[in-house]
Amino acid sequence: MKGVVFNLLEEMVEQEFGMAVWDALLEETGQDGIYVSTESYPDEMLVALVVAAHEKSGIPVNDLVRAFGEFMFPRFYAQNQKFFQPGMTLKEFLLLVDRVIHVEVRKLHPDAGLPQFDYIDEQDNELTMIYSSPRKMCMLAEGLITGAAKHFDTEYTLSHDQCMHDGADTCKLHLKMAA
Amino acid sequence: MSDAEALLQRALKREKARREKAEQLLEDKSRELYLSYQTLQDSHSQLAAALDEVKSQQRQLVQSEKLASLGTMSAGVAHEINNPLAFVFSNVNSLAHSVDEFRHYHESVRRMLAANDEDARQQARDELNTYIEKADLEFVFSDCAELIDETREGIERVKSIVAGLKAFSRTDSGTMEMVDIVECLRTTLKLAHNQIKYNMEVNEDFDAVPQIRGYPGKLSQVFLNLIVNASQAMDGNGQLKISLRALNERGVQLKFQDNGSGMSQETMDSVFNPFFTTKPVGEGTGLGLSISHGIIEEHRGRIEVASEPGEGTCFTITLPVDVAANDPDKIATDNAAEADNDAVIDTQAGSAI
Repeated sequence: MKGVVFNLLEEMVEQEFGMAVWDALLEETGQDGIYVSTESYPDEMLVALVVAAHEKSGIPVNDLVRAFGEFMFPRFYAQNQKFFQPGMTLKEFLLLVDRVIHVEVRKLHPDAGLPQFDYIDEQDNELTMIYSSPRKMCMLAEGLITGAAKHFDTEYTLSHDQCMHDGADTCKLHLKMAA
Repeated sequence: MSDAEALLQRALKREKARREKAEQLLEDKSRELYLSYQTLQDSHSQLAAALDEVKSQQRQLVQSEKLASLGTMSAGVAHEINNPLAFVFSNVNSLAHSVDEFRHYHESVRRMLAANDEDARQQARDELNTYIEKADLEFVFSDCAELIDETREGIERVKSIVAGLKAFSRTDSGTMEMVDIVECLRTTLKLAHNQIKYNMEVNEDFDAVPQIRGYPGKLSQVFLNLIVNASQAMDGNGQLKISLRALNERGVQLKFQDNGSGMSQETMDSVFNPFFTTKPVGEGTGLGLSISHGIIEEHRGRIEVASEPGEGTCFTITLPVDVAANDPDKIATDNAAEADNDAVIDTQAGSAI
């Protein structure tokens, strides 16, 4: 996992729960807290931090991860405005994630373990995103979609009918967007 | 120190460590970038050197291909030179004999003039008359004039073949010159004459066209290639129609239309590729048309092929009058107005095959 994710997690924890909580999480997990955004760190370190946050706050892990995804989106947007064309819709943006954004990220960070998205795009205001990643962080994807929908000011409903956590090969995130 | 202070200090320490790490990373990456820039520069200069090398080899290849086609032509050219030489030689022998006759005549006249008395003079006059009758000097005189004319003509033929060879084999100088395409075509046809005369007949259909700026030796090489290739696709009663048209004041178009064996689409696709040949191993270099293509491109012109198996092949060359001033695409567009005329020519060429 790239250091940037740790930095964002730190930012969120400090914003939501205060500096002391982050400090405590580091102490509990035995991490030094020195993450450089472009460097890679073991996934387990992030998982340990999230689990510790869950234990400390009592918030379910899935909710924490989803909230983290939502928190991440405006930060990604601020750093990658070139991907956002004026007049773009939520659906157009989601279609770009695998086809353009992840391609560009891999150019700079060939070792980034990005998830893969396939799309089923049959109806005008609907989209199915098929998520697959050995990390199984589909909740993060859900949160990112929430953040994106807020950015585009678009109402939507999401059903997560098929999930890797239930033993499926991929997750299916079906979105219906308000016209 | 209060808890809050201790907390801030720990956070600050982390921040500092993170900054140091990031700075170290930046330095490492800068060094990496510098090293890859150097590697890139090295390979760039290696590539530039390789390109120069390839260019120089290409120039040598063009020249050696030209000399190779001269080689295959040499037997025919020798024959072309031998014919006039044979009759020039025979004429010179006849002229030498005539000179003997004239010397004899001259001596008789001198004897007559030197005679002291009337009797001796009369005798010499009789001898002279008998000699004039016997040697048929009237005929010798008129024959001499003919022999001299024929000999001159034979020498002219040899001269023009040698000039053609010289024009063809020379390495063109670096600068282009004004080329008379008709003259260039005729010289080339003369060179190729012996090689193609048993295979096909050449119909010349040349319009008056402006001179173009180019390399005469190289253009001649292209024409020779197309002419000899056409003759090789013929079985004895072939027809090659060479037409030359002025497209407008800025370009000329040549068509080499034969009624030979033609070629398949597959052959047509590869015909300008280097080392592509349909001839048996050892007979064709496969470079002729590829080099021709390069030469026409060097003149900023275009060479195109159209063919039907069993029907014939047509090579069309479009050349700008002034390489520097004209773009072949532009000539084609400007010429759209004349397209109807061209279509007539094309149809005629098409129906000829």
